[in-house]
Amino acid sequence: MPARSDVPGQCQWLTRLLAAAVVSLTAVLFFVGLLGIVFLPAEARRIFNAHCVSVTQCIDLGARRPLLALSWSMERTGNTGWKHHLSLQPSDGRSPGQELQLENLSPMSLAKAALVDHVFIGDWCGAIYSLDLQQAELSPQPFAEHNDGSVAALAASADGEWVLSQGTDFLHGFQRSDSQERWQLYDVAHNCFVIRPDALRVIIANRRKEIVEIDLATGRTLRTLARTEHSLLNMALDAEGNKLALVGADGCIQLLDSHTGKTLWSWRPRRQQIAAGRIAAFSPSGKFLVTAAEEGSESLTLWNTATGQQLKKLQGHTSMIIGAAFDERGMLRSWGSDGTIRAWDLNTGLTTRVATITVPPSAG
Amino acid sequence: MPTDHVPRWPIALFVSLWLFVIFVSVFDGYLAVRYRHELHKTERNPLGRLLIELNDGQVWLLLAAKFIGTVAAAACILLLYGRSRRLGLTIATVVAGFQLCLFLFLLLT
Repeated sequence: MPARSDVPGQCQWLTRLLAAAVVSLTAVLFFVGLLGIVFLPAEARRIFNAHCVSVTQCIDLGARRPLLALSWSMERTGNTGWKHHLSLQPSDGRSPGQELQLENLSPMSLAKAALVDHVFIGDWCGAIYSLDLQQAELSPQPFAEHNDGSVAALAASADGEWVLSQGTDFLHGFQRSDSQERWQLYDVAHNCFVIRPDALRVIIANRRKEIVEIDLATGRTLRTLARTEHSLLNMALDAEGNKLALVGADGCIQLLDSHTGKTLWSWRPRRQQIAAGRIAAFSPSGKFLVTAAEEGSESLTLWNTATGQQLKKLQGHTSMIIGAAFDERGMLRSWGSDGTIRAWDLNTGLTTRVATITVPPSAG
Repeated sequence: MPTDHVPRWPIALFVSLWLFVIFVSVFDGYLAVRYRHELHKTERNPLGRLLIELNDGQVWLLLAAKFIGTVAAAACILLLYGRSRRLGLTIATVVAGFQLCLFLFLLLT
């Protein structure tokens, strides 16, 4: 009776299979638990947060003044799409921010105006408004408009007389006194324009990979400063207008003399030929430059501008950093898609203050 | 009196390789959860992409498949090792090699 004699063998085989499955399951659960202990608390906070909030721009309004933060939020479930928010955040990060109620406005970009507590707001629909934050009842005043999509980037000259606005296709130059558009340029790379603090000139990067200086009043090309190998993601000028930092799409960081176009130093990422972010910001003294770190979009690198040496890695954000800037007192702040604005101690490389942008359920 | 000396290092090696295979698989699953919002764009495995599509862009079906697959593969390796130590160790080494490549790929990209 062969069938009867097979029964113990089958039982043994089944027992072995079950034992192997149980041991394997235990090992898998052990590693799940181990990784869970390390990573899941932060993940759980993220998962159970009803909204995902991303801070896209932040302006320092001055000493002992709050920060003006631009953010968008989206419900994690549901199809309501994203919503734009403008809020005043205490610079100490200790108390919650105050959202500005601006009816029918979807702010996309900000620029500080010359007057205290005055800002320009670029809208999703291509309109530019000026806003006086000292008014008890905030009412954005229409300033100008362009018809090539939303205002993706905005900048104002130091004297407040000129406002540059970048739409989908053009960089537009507006004069403050009569709100008239004086010129437009077609092939400016996205987010790649800076107004010289020392002259009525703008430095732009065009899509032909040229760094060009143009006249702020007429938009006329004055000279070509340099050429780059790859397209640029961002550029920044130091406070005195002497050094120009370029962030390439290949992750290359380059520092130029902004008057001669001569390269002072450049650095290429070793691991991958792609930029981790488009961040570039100088300290007020021009001694330091901060960019996205090679390690990933969640950290920053602090550079010595004189030597091109990397001084510090700044780690603390839990998601992609969108922007960073030094205030007039030399405090570095960064913000990003984890919904926080972080202030950094450059000596220790640690976060000193964190402001978390929260969205009330009704505003989500 | 002569005794049969059974070396312990092959057992230790097998257990290490077996645990490494499981660890990499669980770590891969963690990354799938961590980057779940963009995985439908970044997943390169056609089967993984299919599972995400079947789950309306969510990663939970893929995770369930990963979990079951990991337990099944680990159990199979154990069974093989129980039947033939040499074969089990060889298979565990090959699988661990693949997992090492996956691990490096996950870390470096």
